[in-house]
Amino acid sequence: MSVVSSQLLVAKTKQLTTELTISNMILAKVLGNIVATQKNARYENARMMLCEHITPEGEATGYTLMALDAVDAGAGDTVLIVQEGWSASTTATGKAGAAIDSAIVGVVDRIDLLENETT
Amino acid sequence: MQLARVIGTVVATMKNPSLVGRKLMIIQSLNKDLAPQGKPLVAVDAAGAGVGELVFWCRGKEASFPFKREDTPTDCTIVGIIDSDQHVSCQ
Repeated sequence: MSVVSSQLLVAKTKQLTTELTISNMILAKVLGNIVATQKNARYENARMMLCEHITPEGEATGYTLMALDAVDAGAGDTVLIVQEGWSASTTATGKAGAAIDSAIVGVVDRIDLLENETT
Repeated sequence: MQLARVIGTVVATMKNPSLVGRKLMIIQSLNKDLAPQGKPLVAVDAAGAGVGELVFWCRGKEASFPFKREDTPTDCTIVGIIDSDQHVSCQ
């Protein structure tokens, strides 16, 4: 893939990710936590983190989302976020069926990519 | 979940009976700099939020869980109110 077309692809991906709600399992960087006193009862004792979606190369896409922390992630960590309600509420609160749509389920140590697969 | 600002309310008289008594709000999702991200949405309120407040919302099937879950037709629900703009720690 030429340099120009790969740059276009990155630009297109960025545009899409800021416009759409991303679902599925994603990579993200933790930016910090959020304090909310008045919230749904099922969020009690859970840590809410503000995260930014990143590409596999580690480049931020600008899409910001919130996730409950299930693995003691801290600001600056690269994490794995699951965006499926049943698994998210089970991992984050220990019980399924809460109004929770995303949870941090892993802290990423390393990402290995094939060179010709990078965009 | 995503951060959002409540920017208005919606009044609907003819609606699904399970939405009677629920507050419908217009919300604008925000990014880490509290700048708009994406288009405004209509959300059902489960947290008692008011116009101008910073909130977070839940999408999908889980959005109906704060209510009578099989009956309430919503895919976007406000589930919490953030204490202030300064309580978003990357500010």
